[in-house]
Amino acid sequence: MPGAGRARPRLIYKEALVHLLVQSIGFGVAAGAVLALGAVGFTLQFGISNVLNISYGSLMSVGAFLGLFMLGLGLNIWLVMVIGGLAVGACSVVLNRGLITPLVRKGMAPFGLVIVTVSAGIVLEYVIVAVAGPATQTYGNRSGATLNFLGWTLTTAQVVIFAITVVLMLGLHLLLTRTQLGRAMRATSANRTLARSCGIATSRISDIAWFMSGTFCGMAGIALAITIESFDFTLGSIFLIPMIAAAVLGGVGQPYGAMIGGMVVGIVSSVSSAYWDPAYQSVVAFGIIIVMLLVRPRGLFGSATATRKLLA
Amino acid sequence: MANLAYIVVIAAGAYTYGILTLGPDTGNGGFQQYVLGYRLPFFVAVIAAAVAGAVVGVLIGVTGLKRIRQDYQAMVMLVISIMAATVIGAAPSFLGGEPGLSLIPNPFANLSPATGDWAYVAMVAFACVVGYLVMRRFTSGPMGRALRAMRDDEHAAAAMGFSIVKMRLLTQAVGGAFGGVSGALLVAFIGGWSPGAWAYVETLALLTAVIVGGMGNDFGVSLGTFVIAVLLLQGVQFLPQIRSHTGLTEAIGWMTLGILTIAFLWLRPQGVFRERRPRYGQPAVGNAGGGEVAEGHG
Amino acid sequence: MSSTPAGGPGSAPVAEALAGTSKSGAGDGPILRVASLSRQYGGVRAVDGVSFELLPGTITGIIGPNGAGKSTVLTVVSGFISPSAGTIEFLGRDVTRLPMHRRAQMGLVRTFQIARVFEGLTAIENLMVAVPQQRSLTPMGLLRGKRYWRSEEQEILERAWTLMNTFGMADKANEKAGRLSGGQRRAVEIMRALMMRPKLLLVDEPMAGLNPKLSRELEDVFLSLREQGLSILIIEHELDTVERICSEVLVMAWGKVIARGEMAELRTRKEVQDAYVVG
Ligand SMILES: Nc1ncnc2c1ncn2[C@@H]1O[C@H](COP(=O)(O)OP(=O)(O)OP(=O)(O)O)[C@@H](O)[C@H]1O
Ligand SMILES: [Mg+2]
Repeated sequence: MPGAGRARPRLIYKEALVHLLVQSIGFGVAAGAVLALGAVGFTLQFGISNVLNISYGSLMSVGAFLGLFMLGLGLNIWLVMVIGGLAVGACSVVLNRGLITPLVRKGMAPFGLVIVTVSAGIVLEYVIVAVAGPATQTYGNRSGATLNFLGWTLTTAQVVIFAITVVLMLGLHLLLTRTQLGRAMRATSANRTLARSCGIATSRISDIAWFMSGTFCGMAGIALAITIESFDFTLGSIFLIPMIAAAVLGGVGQPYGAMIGGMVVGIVSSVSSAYWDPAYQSVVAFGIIIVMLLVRPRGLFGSATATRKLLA
Repeated sequence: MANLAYIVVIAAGAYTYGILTLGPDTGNGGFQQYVLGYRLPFFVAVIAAAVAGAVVGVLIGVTGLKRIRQDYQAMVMLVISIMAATVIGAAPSFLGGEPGLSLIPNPFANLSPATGDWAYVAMVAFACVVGYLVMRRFTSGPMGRALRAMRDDEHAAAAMGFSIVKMRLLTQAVGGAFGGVSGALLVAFIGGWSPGAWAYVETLALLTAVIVGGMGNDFGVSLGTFVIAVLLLQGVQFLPQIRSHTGLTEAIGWMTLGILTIAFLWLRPQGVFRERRPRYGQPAVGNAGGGEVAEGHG
Repeated sequence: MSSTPAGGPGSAPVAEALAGTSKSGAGDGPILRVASLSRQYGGVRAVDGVSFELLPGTITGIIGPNGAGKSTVLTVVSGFISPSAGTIEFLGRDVTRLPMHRRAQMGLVRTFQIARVFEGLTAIENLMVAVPQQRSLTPMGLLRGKRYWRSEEQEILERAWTLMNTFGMADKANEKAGRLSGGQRRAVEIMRALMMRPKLLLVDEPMAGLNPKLSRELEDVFLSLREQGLSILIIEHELDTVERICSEVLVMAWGKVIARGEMAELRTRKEVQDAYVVG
C-alpha cells in the first residue's frame, strides 16, 4: 500500500481509500447478512439441544447443491432458496433423530458427539462428491442489476438476501418473544431439565430447533452460492469458520448475539481484506475465535447461564 | 482428550524436515522458493522436526488450558487445524504456499531404488520400536496411572496436587514430538508436502485410527493406524476406477471412514482393544518386599 | 466436646498408613487463618466476610442451612476457586493466590461434596495416584525407569492396601471406580485424601450416603487422625456427629458466620435455632 500512493496526488489517494472503506463496509454488510443467517441457525440449535453440530457446514453445501439441481429444473432462484432451506431442515431433523438423540440417550460425552458430527459432515460432503462429482460449480450470474445506495454499489441479489435475512431475523425474534413455542424454546435453552419438569416436551422442541437450524443453514448455503462466483463441496466447511466466529463472538447459544456477531465478522473481514491480502480473510475470523475463547468464552453478549454452560 | 489438531503437529514436523534438508536453490525450474536453504543431515533434521512438533503441540495445548467444555475445545482444535492449512496455503513465500514443498531429498537417494525402499522400511520399523518403547514409559506404570487420572477428572487431580498445566503441556510436548517425527519420516519418503496433504479430512483419518484401535491401548492405536492407512486409504486405489465418476473411489474411501467412526463410537466405543488395567495384589503381611505388582488384563 | 475415646477398630492401621505426617508445621500457631473471606457468584454473595482460625490437631465443624455458603468457604480455602476478597494463611504462609495443586502439595487437602473418583482407574489405583510427588513422575523417573522408583511404588502400594483393609474395601480394590456405589466412592475419596498425608483435611459432608455403621467408623477414623496431629474442617448436617467429634463449630447462614462455640452450647442459642432448626 505505501508504495502505491507515491505516484498519485495525495488527495485522490486519500479519497480512494475512503471510498474503498465505504465500499468494503457495504460488501461486509452483504456478506454479514449471509453469515448472520448461518450463525443464527448454528447457535439456535446449540442453545437448545446443547450439541455442537460441526456437520452444519456440510449441510450448507448440501443446500447449495440441492439449489443447483433445482435451478437445473428451471425454478425461480428465490423459490429454490425456500425449498432448499426446508429440505435441508428436514435433513437436519433426520440427523438429530437418527444419530444425535440416540447417542445422547446412550450417554455419549460431548467430545464424542463432536467427533460424530465431524464424521457425519465428512460423509455428507462425500455423498455430494459421489452424486455430483468433485468439480467446481456455479449458479451462473444471478446478481441482477447494480444498485447505488449510500455510496455503496451493491447487486440486487445482495440487497434481496439482506432483506430476506432481516425478515427472517424479525420473524425469529417474534417467534421467540411472542409465542408459546418461543417461550418453550427459550426455557429449554436456559435449563433443559427444569423445562422438562415444567411439562415442556423438550425432545419436540429440540426437533423444531434442528429443523429451524437446518432451514437457516440451507438458505444460507444457497444465498452464499448466489453471491459467490463458484463453489464445490467444501463450500460450507470453509464458511463454517466465520460462522463459528460470529456465534462465538455473540456468545454461543445466543441468537441475537449471532445476528450482531455475523454482521461484525462480515464487516471486519471485508474491510480487512480490502486493505490486506484477501487470502487472509478467514484469519480474521480465526483470530476472533481464539481471542474470544481465551479472553471471554461466553461471548460479548453471553449471560451468566451461558458461562455456566460453557465452563467445564 | 484426543488432540483434534494433531495433523498440524505432523505438518510442523514435515515442513521442518523439508526446509532443513531442501538445500539452496539449485534450479529445479525456479518454481520453488527456498525458505532457509540448509541441507542438514537426516538425523539432525528429524530431531529438529521432533522439537518443532513439540513446540507446536504445546502452543496448541495452551488454547486448551482455559476451563472450557470439552466439545467447545474440540471445535477450537478443528478450527486451528483448518486455519493452519489455510494460512500456509495463502502465503506463497512461506513454506511454499498452496503448491507446497517438493523435491525433498530422499535420505537413501544414493542407494538403488529397491534397497532404498527397504532401508526406508527398516528405518520406519526402527522408529516404531523406539516410539513404542518411549510411549510405554508414559502409558504404563505410575505415569500412565497419573495421566489416566488427569483424563478422567482434571480438577480432582489438581486437588491431589497435580499441576494441570504441567501435565497437559508435558503430554502435548511428548505427543507433539511424536507427531513431528512421523511427519518428518513421511515427508522423507514421499518427497513433497503441501497444505492439501493435511486438510480437515486427514484429521478424521487419524481419529478413526485411534477410535477403531481402542483409545486406551497403545497396541490398538498402532494397529488401527496401520489398518486405516493401508487398507482404507491406499486400498481404495485398487478398486476399479469408474470412468464417468471422477473422484468416486476417493469419496467412497472417506465415506467409509466417516461411517466406521460413527459405527465404532456407537457400537464399541472402547475400540477393538480395551484399555489394559493393571491389577495390584495385596502385599504379604510382615514381608515388606514381598508384595507382587502383577500386571494383567483388567 | 468429644467424650468418645479415640481409637475405634480402624485407628491403629490408619495411624500406620499416615505415618510420616509431620505434626502441624507452624509450631503452636494456627494451622489455618481465614480473614474476611468473601466470594460472589454474579450478584449472589455466597460468602460474605468470614473469618476463623484452626488450631493444629483439632476438628472444626461448619453447620448451617442449605445454601449458607459452607461448601463455598471450603472450595475457596482449597484454592479451587479464588475469593473476591479476604486472605487465607496456611502454616503461617499466605496462600490466597496459590493454585490448588500447590496448596494440596503443602498438605491442604479437600474432598468434594459430590464424591469425585477417577472412574477409569481401579479403586486401589485411585489411592496410589494420590501421591503427587512420587519419583516415578519426575523426569528422572521417566528416564531411569522402574529401577529408580520400584521401592517407593511398593511402599505406596502397601499404604494403599492398609487403607483399603481399614475401610473394608479390600475385595473392591481392583474394581473400576466407575462401577462403585455412592458410599464406596465416598470411601475411596477419603482414602485418597489420606494417602496424601495431609496436614489439614477439608471434608464436605463425608457421612452423606454412608450407612450408620460406616459413618460411626469414619468418625473413629477422624478422631484417631486427630490424635496423629491432623486438623480437620468438616461440613456436616448430622448434628450428633458434629457434637461427637468437633471441638469447635461455626454456624453459617447467608454467607456469614452467625455463631461459634461448642455444639452442646450452640444448641441452646436462640439465633442458631432461628437460622437452623436444630434437631
Ligand atoms: N457455581 C456457582 N454459581 C453460582 N452460584 C453458586 C455456585 N455455587 C454456589 N452458588 C450459590 O452460592 C450459595 C452458597 O452455596 P454453597 O454451595 O456454598 O452452600 P452450602 O452451604 O454448601 O449448601 P448445602 O448445605 O446445600 O451444600 C448458594 O446460594 C448457591 O446458589
Ligand atoms: Mg454444600
